[in-house]
Amino acid sequence: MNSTNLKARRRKFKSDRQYFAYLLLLPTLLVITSFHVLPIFYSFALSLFNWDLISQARYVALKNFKILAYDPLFWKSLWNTLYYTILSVPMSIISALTIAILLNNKIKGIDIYRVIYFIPVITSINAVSIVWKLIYHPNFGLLNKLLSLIGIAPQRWLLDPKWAMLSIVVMSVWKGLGYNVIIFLTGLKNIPVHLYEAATVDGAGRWSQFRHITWPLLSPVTFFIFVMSIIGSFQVFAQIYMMTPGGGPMNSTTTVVFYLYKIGFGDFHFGYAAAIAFELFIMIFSLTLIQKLVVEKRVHYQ
Amino acid sequence: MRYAFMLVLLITITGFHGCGNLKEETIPPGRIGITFWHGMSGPLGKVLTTMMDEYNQSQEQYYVIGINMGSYDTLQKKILASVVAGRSPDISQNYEALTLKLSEAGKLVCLDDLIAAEPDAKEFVADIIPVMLRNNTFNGKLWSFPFNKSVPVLYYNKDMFREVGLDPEKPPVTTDQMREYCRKLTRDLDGDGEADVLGYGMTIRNEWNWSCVFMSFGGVLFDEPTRRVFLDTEAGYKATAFYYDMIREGTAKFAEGYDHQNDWLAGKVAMFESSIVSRVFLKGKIRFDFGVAPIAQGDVRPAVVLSGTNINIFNSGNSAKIAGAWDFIKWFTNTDNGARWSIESTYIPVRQSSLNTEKIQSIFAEDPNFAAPYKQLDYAEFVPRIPDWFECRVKISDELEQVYIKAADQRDSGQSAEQDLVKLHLERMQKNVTGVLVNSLETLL
Amino acid sequence: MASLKWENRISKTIIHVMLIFGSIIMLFPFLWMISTSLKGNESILSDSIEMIPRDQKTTLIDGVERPLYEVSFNNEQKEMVLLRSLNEGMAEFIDPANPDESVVLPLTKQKPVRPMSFHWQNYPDAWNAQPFGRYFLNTIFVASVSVLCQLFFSSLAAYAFAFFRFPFKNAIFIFLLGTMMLPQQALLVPNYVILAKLHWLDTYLALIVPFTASVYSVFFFRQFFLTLPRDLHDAATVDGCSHMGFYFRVLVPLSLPPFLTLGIFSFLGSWNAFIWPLIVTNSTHLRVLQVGLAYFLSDAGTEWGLLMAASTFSIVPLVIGYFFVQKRFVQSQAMTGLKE
Repeated sequence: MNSTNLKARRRKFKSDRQYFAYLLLLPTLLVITSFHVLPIFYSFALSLFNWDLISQARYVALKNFKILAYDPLFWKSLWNTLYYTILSVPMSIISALTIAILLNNKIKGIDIYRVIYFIPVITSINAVSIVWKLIYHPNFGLLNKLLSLIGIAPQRWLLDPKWAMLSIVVMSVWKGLGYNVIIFLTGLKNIPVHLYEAATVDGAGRWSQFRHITWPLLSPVTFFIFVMSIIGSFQVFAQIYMMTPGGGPMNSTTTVVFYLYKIGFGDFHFGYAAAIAFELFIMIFSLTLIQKLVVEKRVHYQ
Repeated sequence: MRYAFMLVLLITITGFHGCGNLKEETIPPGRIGITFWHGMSGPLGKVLTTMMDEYNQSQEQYYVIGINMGSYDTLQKKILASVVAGRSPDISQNYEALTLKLSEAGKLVCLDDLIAAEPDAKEFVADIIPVMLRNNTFNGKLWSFPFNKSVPVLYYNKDMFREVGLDPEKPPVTTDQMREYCRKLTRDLDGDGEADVLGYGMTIRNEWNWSCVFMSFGGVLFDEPTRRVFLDTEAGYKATAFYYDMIREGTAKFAEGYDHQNDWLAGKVAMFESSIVSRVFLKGKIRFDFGVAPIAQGDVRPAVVLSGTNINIFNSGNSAKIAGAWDFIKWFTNTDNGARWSIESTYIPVRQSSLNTEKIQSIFAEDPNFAAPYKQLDYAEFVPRIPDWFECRVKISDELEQVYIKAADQRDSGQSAEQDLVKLHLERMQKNVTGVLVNSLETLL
Repeated sequence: MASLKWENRISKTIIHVMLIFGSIIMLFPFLWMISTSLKGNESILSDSIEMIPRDQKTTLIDGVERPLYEVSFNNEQKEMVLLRSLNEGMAEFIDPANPDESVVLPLTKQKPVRPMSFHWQNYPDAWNAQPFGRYFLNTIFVASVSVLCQLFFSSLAAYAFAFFRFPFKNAIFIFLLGTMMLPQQALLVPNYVILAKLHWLDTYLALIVPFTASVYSVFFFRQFFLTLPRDLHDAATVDGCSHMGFYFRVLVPLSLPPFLTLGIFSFLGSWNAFIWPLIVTNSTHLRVLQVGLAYFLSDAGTEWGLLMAASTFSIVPLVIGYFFVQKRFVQSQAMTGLKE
């Protein structure tokens, strides 16, 4: 075998390889482009029309966005989403961190606890929503029965505009807690033990150890959970659909995604729904961008 | 490894092919399948299924497959979605609000044409109960056929009437009587100072009943040409105050959903108002002597709101399927089957002749409770047939709910009826419902 | 030294107490679900908290079912029937064996007879109330097919990124990573319209095709493939092994752990998916379990026993599966978290 022959074979092989690499990428690229990338542009195009997919589409230019700006329900749904986020994110982070710190001790049965705290995460949100709907039932729900034992008057939870969103938040935090616990736990395990040992020798108490070692060293993980939870709260839907199918008393649990669902797939105003979707896209996309930027900066300075 | 993957792919591909054949129910060979989407569950669904089976056995040309969509709300959404998907059922139950939209989009078969082809077209139409015919006529044309129609009625515990010395054969007729009866029926049984039995139980979102009482006090819900509502009126005040006062006095209580019916079954309330078909759900659970009567009315005119759905035929372009769909509708609503559907489901039959059958007349004679709702047919009306009315009803209920909750909070406070509070919520109701109608995407876009 | 040991023990006890309290909160809803799934309606609607399902015992008196009470009078305990409630907390009881004699006693002092009774019938009733068998089959079918396709396509793409050099490689990779930032919920409307135009709505295609690709899986596979020696591929291909031959004979056998991890992950995601199947399917025979549960909830809104039974049997397969793959699962979840 002479060398030119080998080179020619190599070259042929190389172009063959290039061609083949594209073939390998094709299915993924095709699906991602058609169902994840193009729809974003299509969404904007749709938002310029008034269309129910049944009658003729009518071009309305930016009218959908104009109406959106004055739509009280859209603003209400934005506020509800924000309210959900403000309630659920700190609640989830604080409780998950507490449990992770407790689990980070050398105690017996740690694996069992881990399994238990993780069970709600794997169960389907729809099934547990049904269970919690019964727990919150104003007449014979478990929660009111338990509260009456300690003399607290029954509340109408999911049926009361004051409580409905909080009720959904509590259930959602309960459901997602285990996930954050595991991530915190992994973060905690990565903190070098000798730091704590040194601190103990210096006579630092538990709180001081937490403040000066755990919290700062855990902050990248906390930040990750923080942003992920916010993005997650912007997309919450199933529990709201299941527990308050109409969007809650006085629309108190109508979040942006729920409103989008209602306008699009309840009332069949696809143009208007696309406008809402486009706003939602901008909001989540900017959140994600901010997170990326902050993370990159952090990595840079460390 | 490669073979494993091939196998997996093979399964996938066969799976894809197979799914086409995985249909819910198979249509017997030689028959034309008619899919029917409905929202009838529980005992009502059972009656409907039995009758569909009978229809399928009665002839050999068509085969009706019923698909229960769970609730009316889902049914509505999925009907529109099926039109979008291009895979509509052949017939479906439907509210009037959607009929117009679907007919304008050319998705429905106009029933006038089908009726005109009937040999006895005139008699056919004349036999339909007038309010139901009006209910399904849009711009002079019949686009859907009445199917399961109901009205609200009063259910009362005759044993309790006797216990407090009321005539069990004379249930309250006016709202004033209702209030008085409730006072008498409210009792403290265990002597702890709190009433254990209340006069009247209601669902907290009682917009249906409220609308009836509102109209009976002379109220006008909606003016179609101008899209205006008239809730913040004297009639609105009287209707709302009627419930407000009873709750505040502690002679009536509200409950969520259908729990007021459980309260009645458990003897916690003496009376409640609900649909005539509630009787089917209560069947076998009632542990006392009970009566059914027309609902209590205001002092201007008798009024009751007709509820329930209609049936429409989708324009599939397949004339055999359309003929089959029409054949089934005719069969289901004919004199005898209409009577039977009415007896077993307690819905109102579509035809006058069904009411005149011996079957129904003998039941009327035997069971006065069965006959009671029919007195209300003469003055039955229907609510606005616009898609936005769904949302308007929610807004009305939202305010009523607030009024009732506040009334319960003021119980025992000894205050007299708070006019301002009721008026405030009526103003808000008027404002919010108007908001829905003005900001409706239908009109804005 | 001894005091330190004591302190340690005390703090450990406190930790256990707190963790157990948390575990109860985590598990109690499930226990309540199972307990309620075995109760009758009357017991569900009652005011008391009963973990063990019980039913009021009744006896037929004059055609009406009347409740039985454990009644004590004349220093005797006796099962009697509550005939009616009277004013001032008194009630009239009769002996079912001797219905003519009645006693009037204070109601609150008597105990209702409530023997244990498990309503196992709730399970078959719930199962048959909707075609749940069909829903399970659909869910398994959709999840299996989309997960298998996704694993296959993603590993192929990762194979290209890890072992091939080609123009625009980095650009394509960054493009794909960028798409991970696009929120799914914002795509519902345009995707729905696209599927409507393709006439894919209300078909299995709508449930499966959009989920046959996952950038996350590509990324995960690529990370794993990069840990394998680079010359492996060169050596194999020079030896005359085709590209696909290498993939099937070398790459896949070496990468079973990421296949399994991602497989479990995506399967769970597909099993629990809700909003997309809710909007793209209309027919009963295409419904997946989660959508079926939603329909069942709106259909059987007050039949809590049946609803809890349905929740139970839709949760149980996952929990059982979870116990089997628990270790791997928790690890992979942790990996996701640490990746950032």
